[in-house]
Amino acid sequence: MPQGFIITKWTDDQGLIVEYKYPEEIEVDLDDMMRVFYAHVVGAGSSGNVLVRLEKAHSNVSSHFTGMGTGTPYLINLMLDLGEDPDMFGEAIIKEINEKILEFLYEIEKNIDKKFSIIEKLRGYMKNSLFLFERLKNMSKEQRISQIYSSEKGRAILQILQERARSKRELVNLLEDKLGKIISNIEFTLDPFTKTNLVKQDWVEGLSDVFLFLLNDFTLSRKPVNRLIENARKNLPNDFLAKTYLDAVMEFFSTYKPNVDDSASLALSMLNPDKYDFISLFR
Amino acid sequence: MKRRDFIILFYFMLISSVIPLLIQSSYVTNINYSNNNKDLEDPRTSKVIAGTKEWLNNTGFNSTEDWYYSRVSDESNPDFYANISSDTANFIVTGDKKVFSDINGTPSYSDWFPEKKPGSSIFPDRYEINQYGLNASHEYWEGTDDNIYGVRGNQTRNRPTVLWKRVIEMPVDMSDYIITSANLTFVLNGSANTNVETPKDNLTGNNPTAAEYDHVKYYVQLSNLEDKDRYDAISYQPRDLGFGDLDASLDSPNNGSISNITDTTISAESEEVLVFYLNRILEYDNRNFTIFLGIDIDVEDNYGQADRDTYYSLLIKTCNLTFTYEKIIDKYTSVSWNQDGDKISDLSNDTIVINDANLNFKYKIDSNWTSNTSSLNSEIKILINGNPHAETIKLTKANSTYQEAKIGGFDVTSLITDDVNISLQVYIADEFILDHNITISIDNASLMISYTIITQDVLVGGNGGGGGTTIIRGADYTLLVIGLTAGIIALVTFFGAYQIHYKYPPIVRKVRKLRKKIKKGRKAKPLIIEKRKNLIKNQYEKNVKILEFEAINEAIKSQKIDKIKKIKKKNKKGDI
Repeated sequence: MPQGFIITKWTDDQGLIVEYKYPEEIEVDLDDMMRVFYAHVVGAGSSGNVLVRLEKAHSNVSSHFTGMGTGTPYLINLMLDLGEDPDMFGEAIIKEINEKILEFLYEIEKNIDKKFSIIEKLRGYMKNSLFLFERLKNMSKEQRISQIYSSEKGRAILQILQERARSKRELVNLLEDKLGKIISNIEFTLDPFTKTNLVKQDWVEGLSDVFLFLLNDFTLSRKPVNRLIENARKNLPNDFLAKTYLDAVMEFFSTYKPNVDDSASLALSMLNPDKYDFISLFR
Repeated sequence: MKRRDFIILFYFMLISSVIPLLIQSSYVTNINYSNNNKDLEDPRTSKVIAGTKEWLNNTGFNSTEDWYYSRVSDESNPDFYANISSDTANFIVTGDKKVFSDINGTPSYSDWFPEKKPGSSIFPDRYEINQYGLNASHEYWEGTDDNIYGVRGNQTRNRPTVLWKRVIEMPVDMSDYIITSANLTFVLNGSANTNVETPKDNLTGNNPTAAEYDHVKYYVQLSNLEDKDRYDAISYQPRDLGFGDLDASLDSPNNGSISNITDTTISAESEEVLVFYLNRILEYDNRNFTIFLGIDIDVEDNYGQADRDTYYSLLIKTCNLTFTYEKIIDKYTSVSWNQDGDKISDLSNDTIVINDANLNFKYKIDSNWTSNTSSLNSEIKILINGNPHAETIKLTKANSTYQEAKIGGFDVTSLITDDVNISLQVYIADEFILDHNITISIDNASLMISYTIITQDVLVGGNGGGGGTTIIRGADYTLLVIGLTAGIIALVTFFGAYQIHYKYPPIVRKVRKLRKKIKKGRKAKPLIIEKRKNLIKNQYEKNVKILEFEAINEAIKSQKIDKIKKIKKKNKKGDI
């Protein structure tokens, strides 16, 4: 389970300082934070995400850096346990959380008079995010499939394996070529594929590497809810609502065409446990 | 195990377990019908008639009627014979003892014929059979003139021999007999001149020399007819015949004096050895053997000057050979008194059940078996229809008074079939010698058979007899068995099919089938693969189909609304 958030920023005079953290009790080793900072700034020092292993702190750190070119270079560090990987929760979720936290930080900068209340909101958000991570450990099969679809990496893997079976090494190389970034741990990325029985790993006699076989394929799209439509035809819950609903559905589906962007946002909604609960209730 | 092997094994096990059931079930429904075919249609009650009967005739052996004997023996000289006399049936083991004494007294020229000993080249100067016996005379003379028997002197006639041969023919085939005792003696005498150099003499003359000295040997030999084995039964070499010193220069026939051996009886040293020789030579030819009476003369040239050695008479006066021989009773021989009884089915045409069969008889023996024979295993056996009853009576238990073969009798029920053929047999289990007959007698033979006849009851008022009949048929389980079998087969087939084929999802089955075809090199139907895009499209369209109804509904609705509007317009104008 993620240990917490540590938000640091780079200042010219003081160097790297810890701005905020949640929970408050979380221990911060400045040396470790510097190590994370260095991992970001090696090279161009541009914005991006890194994953750093901290032996002393017994943690993995999934860190997002806003970049040296921004006004205030912030680092949003999600402290994970050693066995955890950000891919377990989905890069889309983490990206959304990072973006939201940054919104809070920029708002604090703009509205210094409301700093205290915004910080409270930020803490509340970080707390809910940690709770969300906890809930994300018990995803349903649908959610895991959505997790795959929501991430660019997942969609890329699906596309590659749709062509034909690949060895793991081959897959990693193709992914790195396609996405333009290093794939550090493919196992975590493949975890939802194997858990949902989409992909089977097997060894072919005579070859050294394990092969990945796509057993099942999927797609995400919207469809009308049969139960609600039938109820609406019976003028339930009432005539007005039933008519309004039917008209809205007709109008929507008359123009709706499934596409990747819509399906990706759909996947994100499915991943969100609260939204998923509502979707399940509606179905 | 391959799938096909599994299927074959499975069906084999199923069939082998079910078919016996089917067969058995069909028999369950059958019943034993009586001979009367009418009963097949018309069940009736059955009646039982119990009875006991003495099955043997002439149980007291009053005559030979109903009984006959058989034996297993060498028919050229059987060891048994059997008779019925004085109201008993007898088994006679024929022993025998004979004495041979054909060779006795003075040999006669009609019986004995001279011949040379094998390897020998010369006879003595004289040899003959006269009233005194078998005689040989010989003079060894080295001079140039004739010896006293008119034979020119020379140095070659050193070892003359003569045999008189007699061939004996036995009155019986000796393979059936064994010689148990024997005696051989002969009486001889001789006379010679003291010019003979005996071991006891002092040699005087030119260059006296001696190795074996001058000597003679009287002997008896036994041989088989073909002379394959010749045994020296007796031999005698007198040391004193010709004893007396005589200078070699005194070589005239008138010189020297006469040395005699008087009648001397010589017997075979060992009776056992003699018996052995006789049995041995009679093995080759069971009827004939040869006896030889022989005289060997052996003279040496003992001096440098002319040597004269004179044997005036060497006489075998008499020869006696006697031996006793007794009959050999062969092992594994037998003699039986037999009766072929009535068949069981002669009692009735109906079903007959034999409840009990009891055989008994009395037996005795006229001399003690143990002391007269060495056969401990010989016995009286009971055979019914050629099958021996397990219990027997050892002949060692028989005595001179009648006793029951078994108190209570022998239970021979299991041996009774429809035939009832009885044999009471004396069986010789060991070889032994018997010098006289032994008779085993039996009397009061009895075979009591108790039986039950199951017959049909005769109807009252019809043909007479008892009431109706119920034959209880066994329940017919055939249909049930067939049904169960079919059910088992169906279940197992279903289970097997599921395990082998249907448990796999359809697509997997398809792939397996395809793989099989590829393995066997057969052409496979191409798999229809739908494009991903089309699959998604079809699935989506299926899911939104529910809205088509609404669309139609809406269209119909709007058409209806337009119609109503038109009607309303018309009404206003007053067209209707």
